[in-house]
Amino acid sequence: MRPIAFAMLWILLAAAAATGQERDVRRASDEIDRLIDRGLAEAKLTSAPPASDAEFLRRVTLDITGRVPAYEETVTFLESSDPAKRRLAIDRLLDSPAYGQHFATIWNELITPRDKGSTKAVRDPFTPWLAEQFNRNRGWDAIVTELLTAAGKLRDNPQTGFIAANCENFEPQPNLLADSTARLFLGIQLRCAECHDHPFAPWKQTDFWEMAAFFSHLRKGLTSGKNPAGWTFTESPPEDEMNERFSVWHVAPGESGAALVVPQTGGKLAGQVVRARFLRAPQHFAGTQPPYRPQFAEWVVSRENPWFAANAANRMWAGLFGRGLVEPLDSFSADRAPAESAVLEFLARELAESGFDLKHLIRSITSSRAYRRTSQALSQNEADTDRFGRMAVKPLRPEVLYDSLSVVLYPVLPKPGAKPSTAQPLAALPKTPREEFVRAFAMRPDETVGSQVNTGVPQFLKLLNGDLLNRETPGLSRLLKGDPTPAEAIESIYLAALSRRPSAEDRLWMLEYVEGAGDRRAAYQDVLWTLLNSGEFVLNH
Amino acid sequence: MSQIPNPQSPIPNSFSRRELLRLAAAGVGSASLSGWFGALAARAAEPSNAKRRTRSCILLWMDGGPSHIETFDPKPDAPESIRGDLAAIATSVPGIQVGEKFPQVAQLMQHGAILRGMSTREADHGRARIYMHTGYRPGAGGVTYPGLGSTVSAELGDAAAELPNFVVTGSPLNKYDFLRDPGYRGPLHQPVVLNDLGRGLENSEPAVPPAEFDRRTALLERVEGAFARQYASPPAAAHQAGLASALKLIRSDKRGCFDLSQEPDSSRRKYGESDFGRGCLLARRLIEAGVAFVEVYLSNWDSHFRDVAAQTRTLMSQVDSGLSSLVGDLHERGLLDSTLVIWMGEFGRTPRVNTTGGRDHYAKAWSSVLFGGGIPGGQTVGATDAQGAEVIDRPIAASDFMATICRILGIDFTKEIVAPGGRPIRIVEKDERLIRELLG
Repeated sequence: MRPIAFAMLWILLAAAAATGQERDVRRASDEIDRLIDRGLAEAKLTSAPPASDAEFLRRVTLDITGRVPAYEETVTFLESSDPAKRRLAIDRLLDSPAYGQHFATIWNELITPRDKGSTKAVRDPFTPWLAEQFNRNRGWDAIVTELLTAAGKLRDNPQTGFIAANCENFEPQPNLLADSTARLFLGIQLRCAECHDHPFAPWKQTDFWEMAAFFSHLRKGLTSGKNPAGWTFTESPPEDEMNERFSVWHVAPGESGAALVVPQTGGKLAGQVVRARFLRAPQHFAGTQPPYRPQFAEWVVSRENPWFAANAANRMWAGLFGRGLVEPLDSFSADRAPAESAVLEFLARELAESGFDLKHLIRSITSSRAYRRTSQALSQNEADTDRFGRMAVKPLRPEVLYDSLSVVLYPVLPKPGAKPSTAQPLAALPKTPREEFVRAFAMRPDETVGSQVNTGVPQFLKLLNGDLLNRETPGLSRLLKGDPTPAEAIESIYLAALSRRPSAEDRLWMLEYVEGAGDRRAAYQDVLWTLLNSGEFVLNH
Repeated sequence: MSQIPNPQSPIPNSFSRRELLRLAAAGVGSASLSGWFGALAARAAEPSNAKRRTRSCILLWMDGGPSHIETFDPKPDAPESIRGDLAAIATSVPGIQVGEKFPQVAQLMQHGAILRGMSTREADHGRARIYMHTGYRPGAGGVTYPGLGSTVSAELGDAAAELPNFVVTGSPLNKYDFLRDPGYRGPLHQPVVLNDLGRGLENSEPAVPPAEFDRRTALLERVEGAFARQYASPPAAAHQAGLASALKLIRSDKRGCFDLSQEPDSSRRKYGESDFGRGCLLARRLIEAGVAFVEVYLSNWDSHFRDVAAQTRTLMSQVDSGLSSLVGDLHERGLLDSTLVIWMGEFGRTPRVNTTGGRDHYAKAWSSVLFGGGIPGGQTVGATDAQGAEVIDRPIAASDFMATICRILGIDFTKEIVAPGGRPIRIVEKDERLIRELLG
């Protein structure tokens, strides 16, 4: 075949694949809308009108890449007359490395909670690994399998971060691992069943410990020190019985298979030997030789497991809509799987059939009319609290607020002629390390969801009166180049800070303000200060 | 007609239970209407010069865990390996002795009660710190529990006050994120933190001249109001409420209470030239100005080794001047009966001095001290054995302690607050036993 013909064939195939993908997304988003609309009709609710282009772009950029769109992205998008521009924007955002970084932030917080002592040492290698998996669009089943079966050193195999985050006194803890696996990957809250049968779900204490038993042979090998980066995790027998030991209660004496002795804190099961079992399986697990985790992981991610795909879809939906299709996010149970929500049942099936393709899931949801509705309050949808007839107003994560401030105040400008891109790393805010900012602005009311920007007095004081929003920034000065008229300057500041053009009322207020001020430049600074301190900037709407 | 949820109506009719849970998580009241939502509603029903809150609380937190034997449970008759090298001294109350480093506090014992039967279950700093601040063991149930300060802020604080309801000061605050996380009580019940008493309240001073600040905040309030109306929702309401509180504080002329330079030299000398002494002085000023809860941190009580143990002697002297001046001033100003002062750490120290000349962590038997708040003073409650090793009378568990503190402050500790996820959580964990001796 001649090179040119080959190239043409390749282009044709790629185009066919693209339209195939488009078709798939369209089919899935249509089905989402059919089911959502059915729910709205049943409840006799009206849906909100579509979001404007500006509302859509800001929302989808925050949701996919964890930052507001840059001025140039907004202007390009608003000025484009391409009917496919929303689809193209979604594709562009999913192709940006910021996508993986944002989802790594979300999952990192769930997997390696901040309050654990060794969090930083675990996160340093784990976060980039996680971001890479999302950016390569590896299947969610493959990612979770890696987390559950990881072995070796954290510094060589960052996926061991999941185990390292579930250690106590430097040893992996089967109970913590079972709790995290159930909560994060299956949407099941088993923790209550650690000490007693679950008070308001049909989970038994044995369910909890039977899952924990799959981790009974996992241990930290012959390495010492407090830095988890050097710990070796293994499921093989100790090389040196004298110097290496299983944690006292993990392995049941005389038991060859996956089994453990329930510790003293285990209520009425304390001291008993519990053998591994896949959740609610009729028989115990039959494996007799470690490693046990690969078979456990196979069960977790299998399509026969009703909870795995549903949990991933529910958590994704919750991130995009501000609440899950099933709430709380860890409330699945033996008789309360996704069936409760037709939309979730569909999404779980769609996700599994796509090979756990998370980007396909995001494309499908963000292409739906449901996602593209306005979040403005309307009298006719006041009663709609869980039918998704109106987009929710969502709090930002502290990381997202930091990155968004960076985009507005210290933009990394594209080279002249280059297309706007979110590929460049963001600039750090001066004298404000990201880690420090996140700590000062984080609030974590609920560990199933993660942290959100704390809108309390200390945080407001920092933004209102602190140095951050009260100094000259390149973000503003570049908008004031070329001596714009007050109306032009105000429009640019709105586009940069709020990703929209000012309304007639906004223009009126701001012009009045700027023209009434003695120092015009200080007045523009005040306008930017006002917008960045407003709820419209600090919330995703 | 505006569509913004009206913070003066107790339950916005348009919110479902789930929305209310989200509201609670966002800090806008709580489903049981106990937070500022309820407080605001209650306030709206009262005449404008509503009666002042009747109870306040000051927590003097001895981080690291002080030795009970060297402070408030001396064992003068035990061998030196237990007694240590400090003597016991008499107090204003016959029969009660305290460590020799507390001569001034000793003279105020008629206002105080020593709880010598503290017996808790956590002997790790991080866990015990959270346990003794919240009354719940950390991690239980996957919920972030609010500390005592957030609880008092939510239950007793005045939501419309110009000053924050919960203020913390002391050295190592940045390390202790747990204190700043109000858990399910939401952002309005987190503390305002003063890292540096010399600098006053950080970021409370506008960055631009007053006239410009007034103009631009007026603009901001206009913009905020428009957004909150157009996008009426719990997060928008929470943002607007937080902004309003912050602006109220910035504009308040009561902000001077954070400025210790307004105190005469004599009073600053009396409290002691230490951060802890200054913290106690600040606490008095804040309570006078109507703040509901003040926490003063004093660190470095973790005396495993001889040198650290020696340094804690300095801390004891700081406590003696700071605590005695605080209790004396509150009494003099008629505020002691309505202000409960708590002195405590996260646990005690081992009865036997270890081979390195220090004492290790010990949660099984230790002491805390209460002054004021209307409790019957001049008493000890409970006792340890001759070695200070076992509680032989009146053991006090964490939940007993928390429940009693709540009762003294007038907080219904049996009330259930709905945490995110719809989990109803009692203010104090069940199975509490009140310490009747303190309830008069």
